[in-house]
Amino acid sequence: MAGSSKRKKAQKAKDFVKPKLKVGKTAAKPSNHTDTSFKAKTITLNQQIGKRLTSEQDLIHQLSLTKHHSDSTRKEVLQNLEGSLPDNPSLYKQILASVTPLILDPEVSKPLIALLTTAARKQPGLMDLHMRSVVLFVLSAMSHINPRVRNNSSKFLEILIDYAPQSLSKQNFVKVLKNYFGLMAWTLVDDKTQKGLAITASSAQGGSVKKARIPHLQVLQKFLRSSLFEVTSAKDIDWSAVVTVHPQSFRYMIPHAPQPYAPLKLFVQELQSTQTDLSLSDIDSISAEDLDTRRRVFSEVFMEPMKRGVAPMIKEGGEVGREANNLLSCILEFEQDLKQNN
Amino acid sequence: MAKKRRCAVLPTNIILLQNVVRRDPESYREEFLQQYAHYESLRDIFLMNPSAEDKDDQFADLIGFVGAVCSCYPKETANFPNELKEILTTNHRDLSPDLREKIIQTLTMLRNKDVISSEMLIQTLFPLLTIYSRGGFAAGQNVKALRKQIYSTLVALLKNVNTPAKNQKLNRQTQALLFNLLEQRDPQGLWATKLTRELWRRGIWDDSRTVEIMTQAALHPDTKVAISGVKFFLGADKERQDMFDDQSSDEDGFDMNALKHKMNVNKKSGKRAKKLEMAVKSVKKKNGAKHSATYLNFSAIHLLRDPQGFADDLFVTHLSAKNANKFDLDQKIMIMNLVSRLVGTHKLTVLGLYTFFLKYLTPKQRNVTQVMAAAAQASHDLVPPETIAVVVRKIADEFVSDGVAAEVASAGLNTIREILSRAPLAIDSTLLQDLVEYKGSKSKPVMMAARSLVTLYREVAPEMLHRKDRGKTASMELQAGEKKGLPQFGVESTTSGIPGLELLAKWREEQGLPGDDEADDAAWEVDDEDDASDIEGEWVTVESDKEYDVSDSDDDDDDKPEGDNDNDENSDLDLSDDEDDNDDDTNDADGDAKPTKKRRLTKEEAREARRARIAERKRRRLNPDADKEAEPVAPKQKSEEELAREREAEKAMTELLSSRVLTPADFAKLQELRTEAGVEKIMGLKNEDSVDSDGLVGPVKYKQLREEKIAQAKEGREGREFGSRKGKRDAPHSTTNKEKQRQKNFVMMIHKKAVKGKQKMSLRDRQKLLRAHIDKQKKKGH
Repeated sequence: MAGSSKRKKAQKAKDFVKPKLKVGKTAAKPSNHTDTSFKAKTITLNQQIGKRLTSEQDLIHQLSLTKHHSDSTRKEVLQNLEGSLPDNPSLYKQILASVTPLILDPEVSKPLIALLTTAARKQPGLMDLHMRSVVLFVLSAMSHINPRVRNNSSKFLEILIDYAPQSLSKQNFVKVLKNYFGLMAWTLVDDKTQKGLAITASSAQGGSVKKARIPHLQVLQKFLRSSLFEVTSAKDIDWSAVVTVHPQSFRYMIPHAPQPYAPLKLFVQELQSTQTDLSLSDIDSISAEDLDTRRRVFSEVFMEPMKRGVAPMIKEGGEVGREANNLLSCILEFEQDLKQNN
Repeated sequence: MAKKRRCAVLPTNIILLQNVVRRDPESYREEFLQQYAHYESLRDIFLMNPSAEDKDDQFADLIGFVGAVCSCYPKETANFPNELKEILTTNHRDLSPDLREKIIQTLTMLRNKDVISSEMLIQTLFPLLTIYSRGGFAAGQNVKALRKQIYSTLVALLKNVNTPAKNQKLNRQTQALLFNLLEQRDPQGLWATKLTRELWRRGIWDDSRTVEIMTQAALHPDTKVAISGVKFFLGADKERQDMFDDQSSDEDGFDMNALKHKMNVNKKSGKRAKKLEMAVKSVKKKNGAKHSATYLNFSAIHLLRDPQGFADDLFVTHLSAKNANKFDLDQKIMIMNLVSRLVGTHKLTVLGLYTFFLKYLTPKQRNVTQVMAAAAQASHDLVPPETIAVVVRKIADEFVSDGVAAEVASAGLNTIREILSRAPLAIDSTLLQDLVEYKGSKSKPVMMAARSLVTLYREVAPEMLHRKDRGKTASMELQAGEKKGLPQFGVESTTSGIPGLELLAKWREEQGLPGDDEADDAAWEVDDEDDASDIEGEWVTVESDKEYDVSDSDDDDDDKPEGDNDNDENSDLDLSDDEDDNDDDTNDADGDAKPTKKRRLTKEEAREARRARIAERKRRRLNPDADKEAEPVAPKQKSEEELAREREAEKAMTELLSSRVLTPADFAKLQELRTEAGVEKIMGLKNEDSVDSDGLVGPVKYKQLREEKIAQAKEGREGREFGSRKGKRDAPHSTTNKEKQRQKNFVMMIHKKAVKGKQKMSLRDRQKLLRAHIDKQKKKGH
């Protein structure tokens, strides 16, 4: 045909050539074929570790994942652990050692609280045993610079109060109270110059911090009730009814509280921190082992500043005001109790 | 709602908080306390399980934060430094490298802020420097990084502490630590030497205690430590000098004058003014550091407390018997070098040393020139001559014979000369005369070496030479009976009073100066720059004076060599064969002896020295006894005349010293007169000069390759052109009219009127034209 090029002729001819199929070779794709394959660097499975942990190896592998960089993985690990906590108490030391540092992790607080609660319920005395390490992390969380960590800290403290009230108040009464002052932005010393934090901490962070004060106050009230008032537990033995060699011999027996000699600090390395103002430096060295000391320390050092700190909250009203009021009534109750005893 | 303050932002990260706390510590006190509480809780967590592998950045950050702001809250953080110290000292094995580095950094920062004392910092850090030496803790601990950090921290600290004025208390404490380290006799002593060398190099430590540390190190049983100590004595001063030179030489990018000019010319702006100010400050700082008042420049060998004991110990513990086996040859040579330097400088007696050298003095020995240099350094006039004679004999036997290569023979002769110049009695005349025979050698270095030996003995003991070798001056002196036999062992040429003072007295007398110009202020001020030119100028007048006075037989002869020497520095090395020309020969031989000295003379110095020599020769000719006063002579035989002269000199000295105080100007003049009189030269060789081992072989000239020859020939032709310049143009241009005319075809030109016309001109005109042409040609050059 005149005018049409060689190339066009060839193209037209190609359409009518039958494709040759060869054995062992893939057939050519049709011209209207769409390639749907793709490449991905990672493949994420949503339910990677959703199975129940059976063996010890599994558990240990899971524990190593608590340091995983992705927070969703950490969360899942904690949930899994909660679902498959072993009956064997020997593994709990390992579990707690790898799980407690997560108290300082704001992302996984909810599953962690659930896990710790479950563990403490399952193994009575667990919190008593690991009080030292857990309390350190809780205190660290209470003074953390990240407000989310601070807001969650009282929930962890609540677990300790619920499951190991005695050892908590015996070993860490002063420390917890002091950290609470920092947490609530109250000042221990009545000084006009030291109002800085009171303004900045509450107002700058807005709603979340304000809201977090409600559980803080509840937990504090709980803590005071458990540590300042006498509790009679069923476990106590009535020594007068027991026949012994000497009526006073029970005083020389090993006490049933866990780690009775912990305050002697025989096997731990600890640095003494010295505060400058007199009253505070005194209380640091006091071991608040018995109820009387605790009561005295509270009434002499903490009670007045606490009342001062609570007063504006009551004025604020709302839910915070109600909780603050409850706390105040608790303090007043203690005051009356103190007066009656003296 | 309350009004929000601008600063009412609770910082959510530590750096931000640090910034605001620094600006306003009072308002942010509560925040700080909260962070401090957090630090404490983290610290407790850390202490509960120090070996936990969590990389806890937060703890390190908080330590840095508290350290940075702790000067704002001294009361609250009183315990902080101690806590850091305790964590570091008790848990350094468990600390992660980052955290450890942070703690050390923070402690250094606290020191800089004067929160803790320097002593405490040193006592905390110093033990860590050496603690990982034993056992296998090293893996994964980054020990190297730790040591490097601590080392640099210590150096920086000591530098800071000593900058305005020396902090002797801290220096002493640190030095005590180093002494203790060296006493432990393990390889960790290396750190002591390293630190001391660095501080010496920077001029921070420059006292005898520092040197004492290094003597301990040099005597250390561990090889590395010992060699480090030895190196210190051999090279530390040079290192230090180099460093100071570097500092002074490296100029910064800006030019002070240019900057000032710019300030005048350009628009004045605050920025520019600030720039200038900074420049001025930095220049001042630089100059100030150079001339630090506390900086003393004593060499380490001079600051030794007990050189004899040190040299003895060094020889016995490191060289004698089998003790030397732990060192390799280079190290042994280094130790030999040090011992011989000590012996030479302080004129000590370590008799075992000389026989020790014998083992190494063979031509096949590797690095034998260095051993020879050491042997030469170790000899001085207070060693019994027979002890050194053994060494000389051995060198003569091994090195100087007909069968050996020229370099070997020249090295041997040069070494012998170096030894004998220090201890002239250590050879008998037979051997000396044998060695002198090599002056006829065909090899230039050997001949030069032998001649230098001749020159030396003409000066010291001409009697030991053959009659023909003595030279004119020495022979004349011998004939006149002025030379009083050989020098004797144990008789030292002591100087009483100031050498050359009588010259000053005489000069003053001649000048007619009054005796009491010490009140004159000008006499107390000596201007360094003017000095040199003054001396030179004055010298010329003196010379011309003497020249006219003498007008002896061969005064022309004297003038010539001087002129020659001034023109051509190398002429010294070309020896003339004329033995009778005494003056020239002395001159040359001196020139030969010179290159073996480590310190090459500069041009200026060489000229100065030559003038002094010539002056001396003239003076000798004038009155031959003048140099007797200063010459080392045996006290027993003194002629009457001599005694009288001596008495006169003494009298002049006492008179001068009792009548007036010498001013700096006087000392300058004295120096000048002494140079003129050649007293300086006679006073002898200084033992402190080290012998250069490379110079012992002498100038070696090897046959050149063809390419080298061509290259050398071409070198002389540079910048010269050969051949015709025809057709070459300097600047590119088109043909000139003249050229065009010249190139024009002859047939075309022949018909031109200008050419044709000549034929038709009258005879008279043609004559005129010709005459004019001739005149023009004659005038052309002018």
